[in-house]
Amino acid sequence: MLIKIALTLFSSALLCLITADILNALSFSLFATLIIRIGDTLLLISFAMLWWIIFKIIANHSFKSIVTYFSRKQRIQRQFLYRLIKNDSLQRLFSSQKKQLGYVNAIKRNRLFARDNAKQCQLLAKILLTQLTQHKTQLSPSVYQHYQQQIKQALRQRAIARLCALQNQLNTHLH
Amino acid sequence: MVFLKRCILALQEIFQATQTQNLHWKQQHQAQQIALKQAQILAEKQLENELHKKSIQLAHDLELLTTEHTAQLAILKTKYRQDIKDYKQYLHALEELKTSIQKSYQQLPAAMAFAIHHHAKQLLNQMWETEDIKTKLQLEMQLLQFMTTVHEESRLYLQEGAIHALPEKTLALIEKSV
Repeated sequence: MLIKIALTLFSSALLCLITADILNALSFSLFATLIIRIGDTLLLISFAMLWWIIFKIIANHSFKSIVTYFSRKQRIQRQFLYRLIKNDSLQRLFSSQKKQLGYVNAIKRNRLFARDNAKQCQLLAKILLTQLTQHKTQLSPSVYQHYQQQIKQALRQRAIARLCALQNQLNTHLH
Repeated sequence: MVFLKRCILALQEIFQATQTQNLHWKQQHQAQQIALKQAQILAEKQLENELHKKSIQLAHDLELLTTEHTAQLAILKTKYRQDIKDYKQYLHALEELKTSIQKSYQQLPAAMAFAIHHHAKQLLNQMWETEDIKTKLQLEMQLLQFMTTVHEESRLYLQEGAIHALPEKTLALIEKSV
């Protein structure tokens, strides 16, 4: 209804302005000025009404949206969705926590293994170096140096198998 | 002008007739429309209630799941802690094995005792890293057999004197597995 009134006012305003234009052309300037004033006022009122209608529609929509958002139905739907998502995230969290525990366990075990390896390497290298020093006179300086370097390199690389091979090699060399 | 007036009147009549027809139809189907609306409202309410019930059930399930996960994680933590403890004990046992070899076979080159120890450690690591239970058991048996052989040979060596200068059975086992 309001839209109809606003549109009628708008058309009347246009009609007034056109009439004023015609009257102006026919040299009825006094009458024309009056009609222009009426047209302007009608135009202003129609625009004000249109703006009011737009504002009312927006306000109405916003209010309805807010009411719908806080309605029981929507609240239940949101709660249900939230719980579904939480369920899913819990599953994923559990899976990742399990993986993390496994990973930490493997790291701890690897550290133990590496520490023991280092300890064994150091012990064997020490034995080898002592043996090498004891038989220094039986070996040429270059061979002695070569063995020494090899032992130190194997120790740095924590290569116990290589140290074992080196001792076998040294024993063969000495006998 | 008269024709135009007649046309307008005819149009008006048509419009009014349509409106009257529409009103009649509405009057005739009013009860059905009301019933339909009520059914719709009822269905919506029912759906809402069902969703609410499901939501409550889900909340309950969530609580159960959290408790279950917490318990499972605690069990897993204990299991891993025990796992590390066992591994340490195994490493300690292997160290003792090496000392036992070194004490028994004093003429044995140090490298050999270390090689035996290294082999046992490799077996242990393989056993620990295997996911397949059957293979794990096989490797465990292999490791146990290896350790028993080493201990047995050391014991025999100490008891019966130097018949063999080397732990031959142990070396044969290493050779076999290589």
